[in-house]
Amino acid sequence: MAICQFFLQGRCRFGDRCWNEHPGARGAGGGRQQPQQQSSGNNRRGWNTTSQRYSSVIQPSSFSKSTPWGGSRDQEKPSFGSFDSGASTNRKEGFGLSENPFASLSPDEQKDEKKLLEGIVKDMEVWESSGQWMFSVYSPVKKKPNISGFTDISPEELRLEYHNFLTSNNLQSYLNSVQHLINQWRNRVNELKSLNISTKVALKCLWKIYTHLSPKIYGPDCSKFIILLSDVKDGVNQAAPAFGFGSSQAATFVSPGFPVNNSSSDNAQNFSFKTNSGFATASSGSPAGFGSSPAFGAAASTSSAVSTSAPAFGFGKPEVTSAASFSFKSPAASSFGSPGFSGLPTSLATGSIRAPVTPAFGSGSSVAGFGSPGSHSHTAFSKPSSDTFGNSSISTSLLASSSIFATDNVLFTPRDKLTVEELEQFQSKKFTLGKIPLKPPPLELLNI
Amino acid sequence: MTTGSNEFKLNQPPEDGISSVKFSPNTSQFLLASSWDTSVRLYGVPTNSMRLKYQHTCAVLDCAFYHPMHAWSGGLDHQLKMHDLNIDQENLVGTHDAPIRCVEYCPEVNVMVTGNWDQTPEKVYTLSVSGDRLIVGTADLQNMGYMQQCRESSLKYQTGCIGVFPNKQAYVLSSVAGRVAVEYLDPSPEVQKKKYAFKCHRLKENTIEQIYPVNAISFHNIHNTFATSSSDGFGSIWDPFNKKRLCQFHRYPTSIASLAFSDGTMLAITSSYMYEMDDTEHPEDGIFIRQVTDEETKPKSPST
Repeated sequence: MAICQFFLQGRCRFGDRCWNEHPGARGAGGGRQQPQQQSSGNNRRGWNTTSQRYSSVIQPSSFSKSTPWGGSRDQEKPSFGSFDSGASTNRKEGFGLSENPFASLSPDEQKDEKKLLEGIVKDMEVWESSGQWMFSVYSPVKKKPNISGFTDISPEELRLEYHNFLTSNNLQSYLNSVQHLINQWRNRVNELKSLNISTKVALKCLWKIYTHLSPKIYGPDCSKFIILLSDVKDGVNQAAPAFGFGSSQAATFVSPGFPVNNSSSDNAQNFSFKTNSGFATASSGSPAGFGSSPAFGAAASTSSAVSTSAPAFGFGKPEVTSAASFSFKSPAASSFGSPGFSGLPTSLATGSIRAPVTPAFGSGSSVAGFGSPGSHSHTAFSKPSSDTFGNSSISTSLLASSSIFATDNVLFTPRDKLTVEELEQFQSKKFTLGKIPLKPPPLELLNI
Repeated sequence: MTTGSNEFKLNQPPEDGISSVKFSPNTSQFLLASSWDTSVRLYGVPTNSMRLKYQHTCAVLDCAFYHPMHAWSGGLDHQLKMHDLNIDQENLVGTHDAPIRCVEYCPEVNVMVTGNWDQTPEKVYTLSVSGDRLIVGTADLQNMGYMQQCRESSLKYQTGCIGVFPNKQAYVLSSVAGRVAVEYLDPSPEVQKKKYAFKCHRLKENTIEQIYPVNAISFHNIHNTFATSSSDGFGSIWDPFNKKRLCQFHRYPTSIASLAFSDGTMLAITSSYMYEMDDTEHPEDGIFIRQVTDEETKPKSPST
């Protein structure tokens, strides 16, 4: 940015609003607008600095360089590379989770994380107050996954829905649906703004896991996988939004606010952005318990769950106990082992219901849909027949650990319920293969 | 509203929201406009008259010229239509499974490209053609060069629009959060370091900043400068090399949905309410044609 000559002389009349840099004062952000009535040739007196000419330019604006955020914040660019420490040796296995993801971060990393969290809070505040388009996904940092709970809807899509409802004379439903979406959004924003303990845990674990899983191996799409995990617990039934995969099958999801509800039952949940509706969820037995699954509109009963329990998943509802029974060895899982099954999230999504996660991990070929096309089909997930690793245990600990996002005690194991060995595992820096506990860790051991 | 002498409004504008306008290639004589009133209209610019109009069955979301005599358009009826403007004849080229959001022409490969919402692998929100490459902006912040590079958007929110520099070296990405990023196609780290982003199209009212989505980007083909426009009704022209704003237009009656530069002399500005805030009363939609001068579009050379 150009240094403001006037400020240096002590007489900048724009003060804080100046687009040039005031060294020592708060840096000016990117270009701002002031209403102007003419569009050409306002020659600003006195703006000729030595290096640039401003004549005939209405708004000499300076752009902020570098950081993807336009740099108007005062935070320095966080160096997230530090999260990768130690994980690299595990990359070959593709999973990297044998390192205990709950090991505490170095002070630098902690500072970065704190900044990031503060940034998120600020972003939420701005988002709310500014009238910005609310139906947008949000990603606090590049290379980190989108934060769950938000979904991308463009104005055209929204208008399309409006028209559809108009023609079917069902405008009230449309309004209800939109209102519902808005409420969900607002809830989510508030959650992130207040950053209570569970949200913090969720985010931190999410990032840790994300780093460990690393896009290098899984491609940028692994972010979607992670998001699923976080969604499974954090209760905002937005598991779908980040997913684009699985689309080649009929089992595509709709962004969560829009369960494709084939049964035209009760409520406003008829709002659908996609017309095709074959969801694999049909096969998944009893989805009713989980707040996230209703997004897939598998049955009328679940859709009502949407409207009532939206944020409640994992937060003290009785259904939550079944999350703990995320028993990764559930026989119901078998329905998802099928080869035609591409797109990991599909299984996971429905897997949130009964834990078909394991087979998804185990069935090597099907994982191909995950991550960049083809090249990563050999992920650690796909160690098809090895029993100790790759199937139950890792995925269990992964998901079990992510299932701590709820503050509900059901998802943490009280310390006294752990065996000595399990406790040892949790306390050590790395998990030992084959000994990874199946139970979630105790709350006390989490370093948040 | 007042229009300067360098600007006029087209007669017989579409009767509902206007989704896209394009000038015919290599000339500023004709302008194609697609609209939510299901029509696609051809205007003769110098004469300010509507020359031709054809219909879809549903709202049309984008249109493009194949060459001066053929117009292509697609929209919510999932149909891609080609219309011969000379003989006023229409052809249904194909049907997608989902609404067509973008239609663009790629001259080097001589194809028309469409982007739609069928989620393979993600909904297309915007696309731009550069040489033989395609840059696609999709939902969920992903931004893919046609399978060459798959990038995450560097902006934190939904992608509004993408435009590619005529010099094919970089592209501009805008978001719904009043922000624009300029990024380079070359993935090498030295080039990537040059990328930047800036905030724009924000209005401060009593200490609360209103943030508007940046809906449209259009490039001046000779100068490599670009214009952005937003739902705040303002449009600006930016110089990406010096990182300055070159000029800002007066406020238009309502959101600006689309922009199009002609061969360098004119800019079409579509003032069309985009229903970002429900179905309220809004000013009439219109297309304004404005002459642009070198002063407004040419980068300032840094040495002077």
